[in-house]
Amino acid sequence: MGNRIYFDNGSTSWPKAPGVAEAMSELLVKGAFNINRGNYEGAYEVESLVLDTREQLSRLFRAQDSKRVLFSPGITYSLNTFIKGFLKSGDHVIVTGIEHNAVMRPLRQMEREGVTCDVARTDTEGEVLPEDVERLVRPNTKAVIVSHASNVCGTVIPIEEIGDICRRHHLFFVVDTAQSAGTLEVDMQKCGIDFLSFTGHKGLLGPQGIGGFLISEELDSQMLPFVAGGTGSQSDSFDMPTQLPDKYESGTMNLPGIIGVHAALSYIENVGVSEIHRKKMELTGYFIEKVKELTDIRIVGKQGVYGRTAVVSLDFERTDNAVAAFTLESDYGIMTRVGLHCAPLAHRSLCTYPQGTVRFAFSTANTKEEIDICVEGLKTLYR
Amino acid sequence: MQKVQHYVLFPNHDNAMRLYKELKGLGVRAVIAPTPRVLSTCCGVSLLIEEKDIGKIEACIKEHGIEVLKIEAIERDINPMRDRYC
Repeated sequence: MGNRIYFDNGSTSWPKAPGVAEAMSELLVKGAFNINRGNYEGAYEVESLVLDTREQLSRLFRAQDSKRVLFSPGITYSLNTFIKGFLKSGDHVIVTGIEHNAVMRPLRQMEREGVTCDVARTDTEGEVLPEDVERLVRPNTKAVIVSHASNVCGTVIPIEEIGDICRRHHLFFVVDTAQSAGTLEVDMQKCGIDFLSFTGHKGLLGPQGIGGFLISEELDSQMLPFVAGGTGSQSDSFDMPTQLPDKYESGTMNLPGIIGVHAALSYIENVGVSEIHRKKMELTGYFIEKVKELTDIRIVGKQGVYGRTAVVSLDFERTDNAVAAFTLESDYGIMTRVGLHCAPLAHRSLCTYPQGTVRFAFSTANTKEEIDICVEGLKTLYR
Repeated sequence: MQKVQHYVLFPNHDNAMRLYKELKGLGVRAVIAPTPRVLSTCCGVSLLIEEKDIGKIEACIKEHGIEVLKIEAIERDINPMRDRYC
């Protein structure tokens, strides 16, 4: 990857946390024995690491109990588990205007089953006011689903206040932490979150293909598993077990992925989420201030570092955004993501539909020197 | 070798691992073992424990909210002719 600058951490983080690749490799080389199936010491050792990982995630998200930490292939799968395992005909849900297609597409499928959905007013900075969420509550509203932070413009949604609305109206509160886990503090209990979906490969600095969700006892009691199959338990029955984690973890698990997340979380626990956030925002502020000095490049969403993550979208007013991204990559080795970022609803809210934006998402591995190179590249785009 | 063996039975592996970890922390001996088929068809693993520790183990189960099916005792019985029909 020589002389390349990676600013696409909103898609997936890179480099991964120290120790991730080694831990995964060690598992695969020394014995990737199958948990919940194998009855021998090697399998129990892997099982113990999986339990440790649940406990790490429980600490990270301030969950009540690590028993309610479930693994899945990622956030899309997790959100489908909730949307298709809980909602039914006649139910109504509220979402915000920054939602990703991981929410909107399964909801669209469920509309055909009689589920209805309202979008809370979202301004051109990606801001959502809690009162605009509350205004949409109906007698048949069952849940509020929100992305904690926009994957397009980085705006952070006030989940504590929305969680409070959910508590008062007895609604289930579902939070997508794709862009916030490992970057922002997320307190599941304080925010009254019933279903917290996470992925291992973005802010958590682990590998792709592993994620999961944390679920409240009350929601779990009303939800059905989206997928059914073998769990290694109650094998004499054709019915799915009701105990966690088996209820939601059918089939062979992504053990290398979980072990990778375990190593990544050990790193994050050591460094601290607040320190990671501080460093990312320092880079973000530096980038924003430099971009503001340029002409004909619009920063989409918030213009400062307050209330946002390290995701910054730019709209190039005198050239096609794809051409801008291609030039940055081909001439400067700068990797970004251009387009609609699987979030057409967010782009409509931000008035960047259909042209989309070029997204820059920083990690702690980035440097100000890399940003300087990028800004020099931006300056040449209109020459 | 004790003649009667005591097993903690679980609905799933996760609960077995949780109790195993807690007991290890307390210094209580437990061995993860396949569940004897005569005891349960429910879950593949159980904890083989010592009779003298049952009180401590029950307290640990209660304190940590671990789901168990039961604690069972069976005669250690290895029959070399088991499952042989001819």
